[in-house]
Amino acid sequence: MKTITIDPITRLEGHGKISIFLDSKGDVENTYLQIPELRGFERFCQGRRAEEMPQITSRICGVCPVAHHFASTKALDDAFNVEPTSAAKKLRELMYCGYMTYDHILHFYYLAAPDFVVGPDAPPEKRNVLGVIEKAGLEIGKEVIKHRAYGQKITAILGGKATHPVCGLPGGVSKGLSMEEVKEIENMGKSCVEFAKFSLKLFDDIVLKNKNYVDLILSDPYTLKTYNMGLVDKNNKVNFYDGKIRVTDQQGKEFLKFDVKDYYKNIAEHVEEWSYIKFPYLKGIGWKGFKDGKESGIYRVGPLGRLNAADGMSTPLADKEYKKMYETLEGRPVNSTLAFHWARLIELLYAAERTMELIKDAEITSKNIRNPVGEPGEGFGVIEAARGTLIHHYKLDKNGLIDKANLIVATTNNAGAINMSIRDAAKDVIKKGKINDGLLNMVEMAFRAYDPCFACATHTLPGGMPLEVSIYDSNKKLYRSIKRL
Amino acid sequence: MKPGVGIFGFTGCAGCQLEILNLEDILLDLPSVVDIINFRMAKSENLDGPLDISFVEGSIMKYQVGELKKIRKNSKILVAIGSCACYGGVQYLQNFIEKPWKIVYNDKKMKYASPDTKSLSSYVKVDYSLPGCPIDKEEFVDFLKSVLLGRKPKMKSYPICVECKLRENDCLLEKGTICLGPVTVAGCNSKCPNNNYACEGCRGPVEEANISSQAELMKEKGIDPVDLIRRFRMFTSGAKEFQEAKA
Repeated sequence: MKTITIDPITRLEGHGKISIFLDSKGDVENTYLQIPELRGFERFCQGRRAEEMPQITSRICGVCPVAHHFASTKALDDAFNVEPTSAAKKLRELMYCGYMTYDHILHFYYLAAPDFVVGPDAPPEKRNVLGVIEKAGLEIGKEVIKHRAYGQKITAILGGKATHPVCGLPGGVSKGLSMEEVKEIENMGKSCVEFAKFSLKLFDDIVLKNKNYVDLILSDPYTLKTYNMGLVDKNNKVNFYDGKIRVTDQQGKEFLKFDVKDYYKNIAEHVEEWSYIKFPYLKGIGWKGFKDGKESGIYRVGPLGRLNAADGMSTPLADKEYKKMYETLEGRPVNSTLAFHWARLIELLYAAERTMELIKDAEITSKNIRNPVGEPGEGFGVIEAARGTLIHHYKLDKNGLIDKANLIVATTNNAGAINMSIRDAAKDVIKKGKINDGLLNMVEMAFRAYDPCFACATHTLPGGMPLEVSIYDSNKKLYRSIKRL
Repeated sequence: MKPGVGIFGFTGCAGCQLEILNLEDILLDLPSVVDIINFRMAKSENLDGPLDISFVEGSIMKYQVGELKKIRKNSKILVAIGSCACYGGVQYLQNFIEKPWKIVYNDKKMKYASPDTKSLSSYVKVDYSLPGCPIDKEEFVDFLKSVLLGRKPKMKSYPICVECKLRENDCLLEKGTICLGPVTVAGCNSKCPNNNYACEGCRGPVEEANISSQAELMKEKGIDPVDLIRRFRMFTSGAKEFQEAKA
């Protein structure tokens, strides 16, 4: 069994590249998702002041800087042996809900909705957010933009700026909230609750009332029976900011529940020479190749992984929607990759409801926002990024400098599953060397449901992702290449 | 005829391009004043040119040089946006390190070459720079307005401290933290110090930045010289002035 090394792994940057290999009959033998670039974060963090880490690591990603910022801050709390004040924890979580709001809106409306609202077979020039607005109406388009901006504003009020915020410090946060700011956030939060309810209704009307879409969601090429992982609170409800890492099996039963400190006892990473991305798996089960099922250690994270790994949502409206999803899709866990989109909207509602709970908390204007730090040591931080469980692990030397850093990034956790989803979608559309014209989009849909963030650059907004699909024949000779920018 | 605009991204976090998309209300008005010819992050049909203004984000790895030169050739004005394009960004730190992948992948032989990352101006002529990590949305809009009105865009020639003082923030430098406000070019409205967070110099050096006097000042405050050098090498370690900082 491969053991995890605490050596730095490296965050990946670049466009997605998919290689599909055919056998002698012209059927799909294998697919490879490659990430051919490297930026080297964990390496150049060595020797830095630990306090710089929330700033440096947020630069990994322009889409989810807040996730890195706080995973890092939490690792610093632990490394400096300090418990943040109760108010500081609430302020961090509040800011985090703002981030989840804008990120989930971005993904659903800009990236995913073109497939469902405009349709998977619509011409590519219509399959973008403008096509969505055209079909759903300009008023809705304005609401989408407005509420995404609200998420950003909530983040910026607490973080100074929404992209690469400056907020988290070991033991607390840099700034508290004024009464005016509380009022402002409350108004935005209220509106976000309504918008999230509206989004779920839109999903219901356009997707769930269309039998073709429901059939597509439940179809085999879009189904994977993997383990699921996510953070849960003490009642096993979904929590973005804190809790224990819970893994459930193919029957929805708890398989593991552990503190982030024990992540390396439970997760190992498999390296394939053809990609810079590493493939994490459950150590207790082992790496069995790109297979799903009980015998394979591959697991999924992200909105659907989180909902599958929990017993419900802690806020009332989101919990109702949670139950509805499982009733509609025949019980927990749901293994349909395309249900990630539904789960994402349920989480959007949870983020808005949670914003309201936190902003109404009497402690939210407290000035007691930071505790003094202790001696430097080793620290673990975990948070649920929009795309899934994110772990930062640092070892500090006695001067508080980074000796070693290891990051397990959300998308990396999904790497094995994404590779399989791409393979299954490709197998479905390529038969006897005949390449179905819908190939690219069907493959993309499998890929897109995870909201992959191999690079933020791959996080293309409306329309096509920068994606290159190369198809090789049984002699490994390039047979056809399709590029879409 | 509306001027043709292209927005491109190379190696970086895409945060600057996203900041343009985060302009929200203004974004919907943009198409009425400019023709967005190429913005791969936001639209599917993109042309190479001709372009009146190109905004380019990200640092350049060797294999991207050809693509960058093509953009330069097709553009009347080329603007570097963000610290990566202006100075090589945080990943420029990699240039100070040998063989990072060895440590990362336990010597397992990877197919890909060593990364090498530089600013745009290392390879092509850059007409204007809008620094920052990420760029400042308002500064971007001001810049665009100037160009559209045919005015020469005015770049800031004073440090962050000016903006910070105007907001009557408590001076973080006086509290003994390493704040790069005095040597960093203004334009962000001192966002980090406003949030009680010291300036990290993400916008790069101000004209005639007095680095040695900053170093002296920090030493007087009891800051470890190594920490000071480290601070200069964060998001803009590719800037010559910061790279040459001595403590």
